[in-house]
Amino acid sequence: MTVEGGLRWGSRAEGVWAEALQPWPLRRTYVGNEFCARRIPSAKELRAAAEAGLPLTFLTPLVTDPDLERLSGLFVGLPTGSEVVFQDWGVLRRLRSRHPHLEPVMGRTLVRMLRDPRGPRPTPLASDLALSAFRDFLLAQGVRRVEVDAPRPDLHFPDLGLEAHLLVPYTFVASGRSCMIGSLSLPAPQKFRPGGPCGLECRRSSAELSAPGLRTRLVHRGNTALAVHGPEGLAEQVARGGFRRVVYDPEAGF
Amino acid sequence: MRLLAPVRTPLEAEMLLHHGADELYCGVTPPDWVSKFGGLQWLNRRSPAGGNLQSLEELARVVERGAPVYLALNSVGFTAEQADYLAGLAGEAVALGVRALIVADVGLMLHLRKAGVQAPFHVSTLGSAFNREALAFYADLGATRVVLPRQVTLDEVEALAAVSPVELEAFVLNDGCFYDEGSCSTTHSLGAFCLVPWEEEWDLPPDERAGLAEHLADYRRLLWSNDNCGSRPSPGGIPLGPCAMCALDRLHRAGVASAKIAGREGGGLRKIASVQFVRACLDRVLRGEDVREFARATRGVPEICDTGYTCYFR
Repeated sequence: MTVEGGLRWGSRAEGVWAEALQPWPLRRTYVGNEFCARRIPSAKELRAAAEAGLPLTFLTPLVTDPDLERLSGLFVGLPTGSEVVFQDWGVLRRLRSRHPHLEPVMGRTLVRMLRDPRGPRPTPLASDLALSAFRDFLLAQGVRRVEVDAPRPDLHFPDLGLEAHLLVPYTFVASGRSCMIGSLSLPAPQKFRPGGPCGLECRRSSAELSAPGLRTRLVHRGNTALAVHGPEGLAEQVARGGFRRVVYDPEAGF
Repeated sequence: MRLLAPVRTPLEAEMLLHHGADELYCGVTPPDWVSKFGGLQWLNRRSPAGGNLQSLEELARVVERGAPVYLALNSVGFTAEQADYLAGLAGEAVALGVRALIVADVGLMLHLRKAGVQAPFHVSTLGSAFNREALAFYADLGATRVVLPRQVTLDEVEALAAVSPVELEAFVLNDGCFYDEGSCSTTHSLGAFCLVPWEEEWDLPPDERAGLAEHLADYRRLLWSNDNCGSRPSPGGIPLGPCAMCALDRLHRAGVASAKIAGREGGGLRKIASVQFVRACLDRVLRGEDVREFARATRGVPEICDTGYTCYFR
């Protein structure tokens, strides 16, 4: 089974990550943002990412109606066969009805499972991907690829009939339309409003979060809390889960 | 617009209907769920002991009151064995007269249908339906109602309601969340993740650091507001937390079907005070009267209202 690599447009793997990712030849360029509609790229940015010469995977977040229309406009310009990673069932529905030239990929936030960085890992290791009705539904919807950021030893994706991409180095923890850092420059009454204005502070800052009981490093990038992992054991995880792609996204779109 | 209230005991159901609730929602966690699956994987979004009826017999006593009752099965990430258990539980609940199942997980919806459970679905707020296509997606799966995310704006609610193929339900009182619930992979069994008092180290450029301390203080003020202002009531006994009374008339005119009070795990007196407050406001709205001054005066904490941080729709 061939395993390929994916890389965020404009990023590069360095140090231990460069070494850890070496076995998997780079085959896809990732662009877009899974968590924040304010960071949906422009058509110009998408074109520039496509000019990198590799097939494109476009990451999309949860969206309101105006942002869905914006996405739809961008989908029109994507080359046939490009992948669109959706975190929003509405985006999948739109892809199926209006943009059949694109391949839908289920995003990590729709792989429902506990990823709480506090306390013990849940036992048994649960996910809706364990339900055959759900997997059958995905395939019927034309979704044969899923993105995973918390590999579980009980899920071997080829056995489930799905092709899985492993995202590193982050596990998504929590996200939302209120942004802690995005309203830094606003007056107090306007801060933290869903869909409100922001100064895109996430382009130049992130935070390390610490508290007793955390079992992993935790960061806040933009509107999203992410657990950080190193490359230790990566090859074993890829083999055990039967992953088809390893995607390195060092800024998670921020 | 109907008033939807949370219950966790049969006695609460009687009291809340008496004080003006039109419909009820609840969870039920029979003891064998915990013995089979442990305490970390909850059956719904509230703890087995703190926010749930304890048996189907208790559920039957709630349903007997005659008001529509909706059953929450809105955790996510179930194993196949857990989903089978829930299909059995849902079937029994529907046989008792439960009108709809509140479900968050698309996988569980599909599993329940496959298992022959035919009750209508209400898509939990964890379904994160922020756009018209998402509403249509859930309608395609058999949903008859969608609980809107806490993080929609009032303008967005109005736009969605104008085109929605399903009924809409909106939170109007209590219990805020900093994150979108459907985009949160943590569990309240370890305490609310967003209320953890983190030590934060921001790597802001030096020229932007000046306002950071004040900004983080505002952030903590918001979290305190989301946490029902430190879980304290107003001088008049009304829960002080997220509130949408000033938006109630627009929600009603938009066609939102149900005004939801959050807080299944709360005490009976808190629930009664919540129902009385929302009932009084909703009755004014239904009579075409202005509700803003009434709500503000009844809460009796203008200094908190003025921050805007307790407004569900800011």
